[in-house]
Amino acid sequence: MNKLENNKDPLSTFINSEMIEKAPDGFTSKVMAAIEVEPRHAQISHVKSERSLVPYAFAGFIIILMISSFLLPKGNDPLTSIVLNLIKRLEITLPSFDFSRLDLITLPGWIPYMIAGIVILSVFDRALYGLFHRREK
Amino acid sequence: MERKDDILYIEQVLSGKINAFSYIVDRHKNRAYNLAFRICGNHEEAEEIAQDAFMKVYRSLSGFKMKSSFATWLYRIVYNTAISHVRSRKIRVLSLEDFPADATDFLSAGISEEEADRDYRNSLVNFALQKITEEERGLISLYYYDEMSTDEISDVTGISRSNIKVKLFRARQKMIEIIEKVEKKKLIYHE
Repeated sequence: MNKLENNKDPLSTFINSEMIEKAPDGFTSKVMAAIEVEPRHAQISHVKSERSLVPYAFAGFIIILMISSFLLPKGNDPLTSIVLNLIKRLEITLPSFDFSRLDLITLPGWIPYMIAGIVILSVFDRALYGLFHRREK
Repeated sequence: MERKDDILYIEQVLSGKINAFSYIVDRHKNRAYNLAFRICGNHEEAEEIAQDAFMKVYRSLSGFKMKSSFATWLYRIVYNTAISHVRSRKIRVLSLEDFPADATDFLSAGISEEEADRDYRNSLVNFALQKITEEERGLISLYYYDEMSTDEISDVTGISRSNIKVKLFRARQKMIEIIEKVEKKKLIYHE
């Protein structure tokens, strides 16, 4: 806090810290009454922040799995063999897909054009929405 | 000591004791209101701005860094809220004629001469404040009413220290010029 060159400053004869405008009566209670409505908002934001953590948690889990696939030793070390034996004991059978049937499907020639058209129209629609939404604001 | 008290109350609010926020409001309401009033020049709007600022503070209290000064943070919010509020409303240019020529007749209101002089000076300052930009009003208020240093004003406003000195000098010159004009007008009125 300072008051530089007050003696040379003619404005300081008109303004001083004792001349502050005080808040009206009941100001604190008005603010507190407005805050009473706030906890709902705070709870919502708390839930939202928890929800936003979900994708991060999954991303972290996937990264850990990817890193572990590189770091875990290959070959017949005891830990890997135990895990593999456990998986074998579960006797899981994965479904097998026959992709050869896909070759038999023949699509009409206009389908790719239609898909491209839908994509272009969607982008155009989003652009228009964004433009008008901004104007509304 | 004051800063420690602020932090104590903030921690209480964050732990769920919402009523502790009333102590924070009580401690800072006058300074916050004064800054808002000096920038907008209107009591109703100043109350609205100060309330709005306290609500913003409450909502973002969890983001407050305990190492920094709470008062500076609060003033920054009040300053920004008041500046945006003033900028969003229609511009009204005051002329010299808007200052009441009989503003010295406070004595007729049954108050002492000293009080009358103080009230006159206050209304003169308010009038001069309305003739400068909202940014300059904020700087003048923080410098003279809150007795802040240029470093502290820089923290509140985000304007560089050297720029604050220049802006304060210009604002001061403008205000003195306006006050002198009003004083001359007062002399003519009383002659």
